[in-house]
Amino acid sequence: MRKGDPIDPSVGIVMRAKLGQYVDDGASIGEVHAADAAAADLAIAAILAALTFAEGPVDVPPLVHGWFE
Amino acid sequence: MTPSDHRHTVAAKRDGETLAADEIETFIEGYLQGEVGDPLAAAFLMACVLRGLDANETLAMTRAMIASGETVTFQGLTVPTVDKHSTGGVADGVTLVFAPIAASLGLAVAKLSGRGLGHTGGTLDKLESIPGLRTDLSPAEMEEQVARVGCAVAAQSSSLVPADGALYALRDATATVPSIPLIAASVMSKKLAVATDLILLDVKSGSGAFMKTPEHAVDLANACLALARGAGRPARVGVTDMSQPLGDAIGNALDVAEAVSLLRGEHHGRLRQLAVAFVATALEVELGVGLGDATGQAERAIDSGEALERFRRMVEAQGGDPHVADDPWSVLPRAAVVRTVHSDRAGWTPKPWGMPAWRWAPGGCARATRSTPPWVS
Repeated sequence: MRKGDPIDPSVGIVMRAKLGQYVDDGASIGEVHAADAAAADLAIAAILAALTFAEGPVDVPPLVHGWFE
Repeated sequence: MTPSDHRHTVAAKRDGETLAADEIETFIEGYLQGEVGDPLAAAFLMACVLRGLDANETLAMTRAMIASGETVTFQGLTVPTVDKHSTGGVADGVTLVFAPIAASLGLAVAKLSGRGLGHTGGTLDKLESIPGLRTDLSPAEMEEQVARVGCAVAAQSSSLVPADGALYALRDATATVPSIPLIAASVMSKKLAVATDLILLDVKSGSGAFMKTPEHAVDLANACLALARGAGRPARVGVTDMSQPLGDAIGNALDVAEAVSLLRGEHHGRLRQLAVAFVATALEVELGVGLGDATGQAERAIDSGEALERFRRMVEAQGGDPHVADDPWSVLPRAAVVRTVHSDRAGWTPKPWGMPAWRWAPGGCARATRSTPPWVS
């Protein structure tokens, strides 16, 4: 892909699992919006491969580390 | 200048010397005019990466980059103008909501945005998912719209700091991207080329950002602030977390729908908190409102629907279908296939998917380019 290529504005992901959250096996964690079924399958596989889990609770960084002027 | 003068500049930086402002300016001009070729320019950039640039050298480089193109002023505006820029991250839709909230509270937001690369596309791509909406506003159109509506988000012209694209392409090809002074010059050249009363920067830190740790992000924040001071321009920087996407949506139409939902008061997560924090800072600096009061004003602008109304007027002024503010999915393009993702394991999520998952996007909303820095948005 290159700068200026047409893009499909309708596709994307909605991700509801947040950092530090406990997720059950099989829980709904988000949505894939894709142009066709093959793209949706690819996306779901990539998402599940990218998702990592910890054994216990994790710290969530603060939203704002600081303001500077 | 002779070729040997340019080589002397590179050799001096290679040996750790501090360059004079005019040496840097001459070198950058020479590169843009074709007098300095890519090999010498790449050697120069590598010397800068390894030896560093001090504040004066970085300012000289930034000035030379600004001088490579046109500058933009909004002389006819009577209310304070604010520009807000994020150094990029996953699903950073803050600008979409910052602009109308700030506009509803007496600030003028004139936002010139670059074409993003990336995981999500930039702010322009998001807005352009609204049918009819155009972002190719001329400076005069933009000024007229900002005077009338309070905000406008438009594409920056290719003649705004053309040096940045040229230098970034070379840096990308020569492993000279990770240098705080060079990144600061890239970010700030485009902000300083547009004359606004306040520059707000959101420097992201975390796994989804270019700066991976808060310490690096603070270094970049300080480098950017030094450039603003050097140019005599007020600026504030928030260093904020991007270890996970701010909102839930990653996409273009999806981000617009989320922005509308936020402006309808339906979203109370980090995206709203950060937009409110930036608006409050702008109100504090430009209108002298105390921070607590300013935060309350920003919250009320959302809850009262005033900010949503500004969004509607901005969309309409730019030719988009204003019904997006009432019922986003009656207007926005919907994907043919929508599937729920179910986790295949149990546990605490230490790394929510953002960037890695985004690479699949076949014909999706990501673009790859070698001439757009990852910190544009």
